Order: sequence, then C-alpha cells, then structure tokens
Amino acid sequence: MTYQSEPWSQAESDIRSVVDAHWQELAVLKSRIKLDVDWQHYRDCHTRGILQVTTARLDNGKLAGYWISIVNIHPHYRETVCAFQDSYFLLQDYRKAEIGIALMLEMQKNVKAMGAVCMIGSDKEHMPMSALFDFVGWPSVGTQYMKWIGD
Amino acid sequence: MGFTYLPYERQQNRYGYLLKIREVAESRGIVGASEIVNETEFQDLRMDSLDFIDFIMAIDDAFLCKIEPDVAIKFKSINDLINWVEEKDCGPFEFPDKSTFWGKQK
Repeated sequence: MTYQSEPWSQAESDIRSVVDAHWQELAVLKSRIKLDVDWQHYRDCHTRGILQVTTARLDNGKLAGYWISIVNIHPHYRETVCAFQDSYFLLQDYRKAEIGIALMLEMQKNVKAMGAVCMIGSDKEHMPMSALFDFVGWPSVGTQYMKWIGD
Repeated sequence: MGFTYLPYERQQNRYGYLLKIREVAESRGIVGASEIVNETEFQDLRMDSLDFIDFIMAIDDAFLCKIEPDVAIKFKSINDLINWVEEKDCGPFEFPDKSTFWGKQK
C-alpha cells in the first residue's frame, strides 16, 4: 500500500468509480438527497489551489481509499489556514489494521505542506470514527446536526 | 545461510512478550490468542483500523508504554511489535503463566 498526494486530474476517474459505494454506505437521508456530484466544483477548487487529495493505493495502483480536503483560510479567522474535510473513504476490503491511520497521517502531512495549521473533520453516527480521530490526536469538539426542511 | 540463536534470557523475554500480547488480544476480544504468533502479519488478522487502534492502546496499557500513531503504522507483524517493546525495555510487568501458551500440560 502506498499513500500520496495526487492532483485532482489524476485521482478523479478512480474516485468516480467508487463514489456510489461511498454514498451508499455513508450518506444519510438517501431517499431525499440523491447523489449528484458537482465534479466541476472539484476541478475549480484544484485550479484555485485549495483542493488536497490524499490517496491510498495498492502496489498495482488500484485505489483503496482517499481523503479530500479543502485547504483555505477560515472565514472567521482570516490568519488561520484550515483543512476542512470534504470526504474520506476506504473501500471495505482495505479497512484493515493500520491503513486508516496511515491515510490520515499522510493527509495531515499533505495539508500542512499547503499551509494548514488546523484540521476540521467529522464522522457519521452510523459509522463512528472517534477512536481513529482520537488516536491520531484530533479531540472531539462538537456534534453535527442535520434536519430535512424540504417538502 | 547460518542460523543465529538468541541468548537464553533474551529468548525467554521475547517469549514472555509474545504471551503478553496474546493475553491482551484475547482479553480484549480483538483476535483469538491462537492467531498471535511471531510471524503473524497484522494485515492477516481480522482487524479493521479501529480494532487495530483498540489493540495498540491495549498494548500501551499492558506494557506501560505509549505507541505513537506514526510508530504503530510501521508495525507489520507481531515480531515488529515485540522488537519495539524489547528495544524500549517497556515495563516492569509480570509475564503471563507460560504454561498456558500451548494449553495445560499433563
């Protein structure tokens, strides 16, 4: 397994191939919020230099997982560059032993190289990752809430 | 290629480390003790990342040490873990009863 930073153009097609599995497993309110990724948004973020993609790949190059961050100033704290977690996913076959930890540590190195001094992430209640976050030094600072207000 | 024997005391210590790792794995219900031998690769155990963290933190407690995440991800096998514990001279602690390793002897 290798862990590396990749330009969006290199990672996009592989991420596209697993994004449905990611959505099926981790999304909430799936009956109301359909998967419809704005791929151009990610290309634009890459062009603006605020997208960070860290991948885990098998030695043969097959994608095993990824962590996507938006690295930008925090709108409340303009002197503070943060890595805002966009999404992360490991294919089920590769949720073994140290892989998740190694992916997080590589991502941390990569966003730091882009100037981030703070990382903000979350997990899903139906797939808690608190042990992983805690182990790599991310204390819990709150809980996310979500309410559907459409028709 | 020749075969190098470890000094007796060191062999005994490493054997004790192995027993203790087995005890930790079994007591936490992470993996069965029989799956833990020196050559066991972590990738071959039925541990996801969260189980692995649970295992490493249990090892921290049992061996009175602190394994940092960047160190933990370099462990590929139980032997690597034993080497680290040996190098750090963790402890002091009591080794488990060696008679339990292969089951009770008549």
